[in-house]
Amino acid sequence: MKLFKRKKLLLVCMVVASAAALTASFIPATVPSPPVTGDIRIDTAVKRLLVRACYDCHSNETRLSWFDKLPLVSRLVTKDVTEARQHLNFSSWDSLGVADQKAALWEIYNMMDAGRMPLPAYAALHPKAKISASDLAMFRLYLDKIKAAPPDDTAKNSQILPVLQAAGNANLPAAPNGIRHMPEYRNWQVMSTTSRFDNGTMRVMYANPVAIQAIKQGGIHPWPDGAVIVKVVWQKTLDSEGNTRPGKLVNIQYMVRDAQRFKDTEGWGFARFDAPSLKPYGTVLTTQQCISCHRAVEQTGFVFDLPVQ
Amino acid sequence: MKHTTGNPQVFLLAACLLLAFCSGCSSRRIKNVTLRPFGFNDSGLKVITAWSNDRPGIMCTLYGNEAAWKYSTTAAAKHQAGELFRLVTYMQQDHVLWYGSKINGALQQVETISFTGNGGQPVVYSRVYGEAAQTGGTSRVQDTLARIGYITGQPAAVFP
Repeated sequence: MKLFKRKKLLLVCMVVASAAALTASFIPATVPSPPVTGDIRIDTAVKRLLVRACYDCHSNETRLSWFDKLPLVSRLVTKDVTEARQHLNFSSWDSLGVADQKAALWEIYNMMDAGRMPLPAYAALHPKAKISASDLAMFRLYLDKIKAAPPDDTAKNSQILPVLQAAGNANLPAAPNGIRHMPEYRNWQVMSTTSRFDNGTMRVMYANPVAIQAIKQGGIHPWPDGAVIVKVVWQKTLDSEGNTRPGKLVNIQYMVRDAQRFKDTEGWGFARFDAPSLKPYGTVLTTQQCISCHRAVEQTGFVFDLPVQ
Repeated sequence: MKHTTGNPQVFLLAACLLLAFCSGCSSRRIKNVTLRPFGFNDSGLKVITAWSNDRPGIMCTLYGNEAAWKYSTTAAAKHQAGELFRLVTYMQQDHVLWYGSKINGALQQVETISFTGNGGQPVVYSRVYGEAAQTGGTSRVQDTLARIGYITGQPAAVFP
């Protein structure tokens, strides 16, 4: 009899809890509207585009449609907006350094160009946010005006190489996620070389034997475990003949493939070591920023710098 | 009396259906790409440096064997027998996947310099072009001293 009463009590509690949860889910969530502390100042046409396509999620000036305020939907919207603001918020644009602001603009363009942003589902429900070819052309023209000019000779090669060579394997720097610097990359095959006019750097990309084999055999969907891609980044220098050359070493970056270990970032682990001491960059959470950008190139297994025809 | 405000749950259902429908038919642009086959196999050589030039639209990578790499990184006064330099030149192309970058495109030529004797002489210089670069054809160039000096005189980039 006691057992029956207990079961009954438990059942009532469960029903009440479920009803409360259900009721709560039908109470619309509210997107907070903190003050605008440092709005982006930019070319008027670009600003209009950003406001139209991005501001609802990436600013404190969110304007919700009626259906965004519906129960359940509003909870999803609130979550998306909160995450979007954490990644990039035009209302606190001034909190970014000048270099980061520029980098963000190129990233925004490329996310738009890749069709990653605005999110396809959002754009479908909010037609004003859709990006047209003329929007992209206008944005590109603006970016061309702000692209980095090659600096004067910044090569300072003297003491860096011997110091780095002297470090034994036990002292190799390791990123917060455990990825270590791998000096053996120097013997790997070059995958590609790039010259960036958005940020004034040039790069040589290496692929280890596993990665090279995958590329040659077309086996990059997905890339095999053990594939490693290395990117050495320098500032550009420009000589009188118009040659752009590697100047000051900026950093070395890694993509390491391990589908299980890095399952939260599409199977890729990311690491960056900043010159001159190869100081590991970021935290374990930094890799989320990396993959959020690399998701734009899902068609190449999340790798940007593959030479294509 | 007919209700005109409707049931919120009906709205919700309609919105969900609309979302699902529109997500399926959204106009996301996915760029289809075809990987470019490797035109040059570096065969274990190390990169000494790389450069590009927007005027002719080229991107170059200078490789060397251990002896050549040592020559370039230590700025040795004289060449030694066994040094091998290989300069690979590609056409430059827009980076389809990242606006703001150029990337190496089609292979244009491969130049090879071998030092067979100590002190810088004699040398063997060969240059192969385009498709020939992939098949191993060669063509001797007589007036090459300036070119050899230019290639082997490139300062090494810093590789961590």
